[in-house]
Amino acid sequence: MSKKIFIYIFLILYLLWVLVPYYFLIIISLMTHSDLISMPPKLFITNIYLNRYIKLFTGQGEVHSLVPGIENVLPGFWNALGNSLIFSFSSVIINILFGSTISYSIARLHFMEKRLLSLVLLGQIVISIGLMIPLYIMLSNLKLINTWIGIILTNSSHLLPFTIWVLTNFFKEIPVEIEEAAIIDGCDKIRMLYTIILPLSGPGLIAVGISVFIYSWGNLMIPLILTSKKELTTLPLFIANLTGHYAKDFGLMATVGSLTALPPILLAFFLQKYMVKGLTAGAIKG
Amino acid sequence: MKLSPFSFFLNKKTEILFSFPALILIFFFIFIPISWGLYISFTDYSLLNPSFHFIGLKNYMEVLTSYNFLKSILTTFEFMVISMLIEFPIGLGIALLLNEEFKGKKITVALSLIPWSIPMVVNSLLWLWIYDPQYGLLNGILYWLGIKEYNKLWLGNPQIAMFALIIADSWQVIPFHVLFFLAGLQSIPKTYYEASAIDGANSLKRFFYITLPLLKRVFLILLLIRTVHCIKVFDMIYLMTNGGPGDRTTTMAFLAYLETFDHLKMSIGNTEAIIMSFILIILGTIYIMTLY
Repeated sequence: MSKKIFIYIFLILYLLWVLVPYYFLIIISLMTHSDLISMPPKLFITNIYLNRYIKLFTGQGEVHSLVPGIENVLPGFWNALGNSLIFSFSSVIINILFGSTISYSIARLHFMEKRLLSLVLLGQIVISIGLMIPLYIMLSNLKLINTWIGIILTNSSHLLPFTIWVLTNFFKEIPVEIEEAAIIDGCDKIRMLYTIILPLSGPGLIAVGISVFIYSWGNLMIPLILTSKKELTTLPLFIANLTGHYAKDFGLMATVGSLTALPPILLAFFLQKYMVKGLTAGAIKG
Repeated sequence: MKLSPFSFFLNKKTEILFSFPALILIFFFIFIPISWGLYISFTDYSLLNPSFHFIGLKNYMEVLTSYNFLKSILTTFEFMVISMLIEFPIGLGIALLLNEEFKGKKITVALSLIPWSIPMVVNSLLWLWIYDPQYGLLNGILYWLGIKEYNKLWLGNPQIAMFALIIADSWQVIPFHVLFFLAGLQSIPKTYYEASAIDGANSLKRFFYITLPLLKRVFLILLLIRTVHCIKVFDMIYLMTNGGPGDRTTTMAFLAYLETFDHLKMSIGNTEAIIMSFILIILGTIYIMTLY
């Protein structure tokens, strides 16, 4: 009995550790300005202050802020949100489309399979700022800085090794006999991939899709280094700009932050079965 | 049946065609930048002066003898070692607890994914608030504890800044360790423990002679993932300390960024980037060789 109590006490501590910071993120975004700058900080909100959200979404109303000039930055929110969606979804589509075809080939060709997969893993390990600096020099020579093509293709290619790694392992588990039967029935290979193999590897595709989405959604480095135009700002960059150029306005940062964190949290929470599979199979987060 | 190379390509032409789009992307955005960066590191190229004069190993000599770069390597390793010393015991401990049967286990595991899925940028600004000297939570706690000088600097204090970063990073990473260790623990057959209990082994002995040896592979995977992650860490330093105070939290990755985009020393930044990629390739090769 005492052992049970001991376990529960530790688990509660663990859950507090996991959840408390996110709890504060949300309540800071809902605090009035005077509550926000009180010391010690308020642990609960007595009156909910929605003005920051209203201001971000509609541009209406007043937001009390110590930071001058914040009015000019905030209208960029919808643009940043749209850009983040374009950036993340196109990366997911490219990864699923091109990643599934190459993974299928690696799984079925049996051509230096182990070595190819090792190379894929190595590719995943190398991806970092160390790769971004030569890439920046290369793309600026090709006049691809500040273009959608530049950031989307860079991001998609940098996630491809992860995609290939997870999907190849999934495809290998689908029995070849199903494909042989399809070929006898006169099915060509492209149709076979899209009508038989892909539906059968649903969980793998979902795991890859969500992971690619979450990685792209939170990626700061690629837009930071490869863009400088306001029109291409994504949400992480939008938040980074709130911290960089102005004195810190934690209320606004937390508002944008909670909104940015929401889609990945919902995806991870509701589709966690697939996530854990994808994570432990891929075993890598960029 | 062994196929000749020619008929192999003829037979498998769909598969080979299938691979092309992804191969082109990987070639263009991973392979070429590395090779090109390697080439540029032997020249005096800069964006302002876009000509390529071969200058041999001069860049490497400069980087490898510069105080800043050597110090950044030490800083990176400091970050790595302390992080691991914190994350591994805590992660394993919590996984051991979660491995017991109790009510609410599923929801605890599900909630563990939250910190991991939060974008690094959001995590960083959250901890920026926690450490804020004026309005932050940490100083608030000091205030509640009745400490008079509660207006402490955390990220601005050279003695604490690194540790503060590590704690913020651990918040995101520990649940990830928990999930991995839990997956490892669940793969150990229960019969091992039953047999050893009959032989009279106590729970401490069981832990050291059964659990730990059988978790070796998980340990290895996590060790290598974390090594690579700590060398790459960038977003957090960019947002929280900007490498400071002074150069206290300037890791290898951040120094390469500063040299390139702040000091505009393209060739130096690029050379540092290449050395960093080289270190990652060596570690990655060790990683893959030990696993397969």
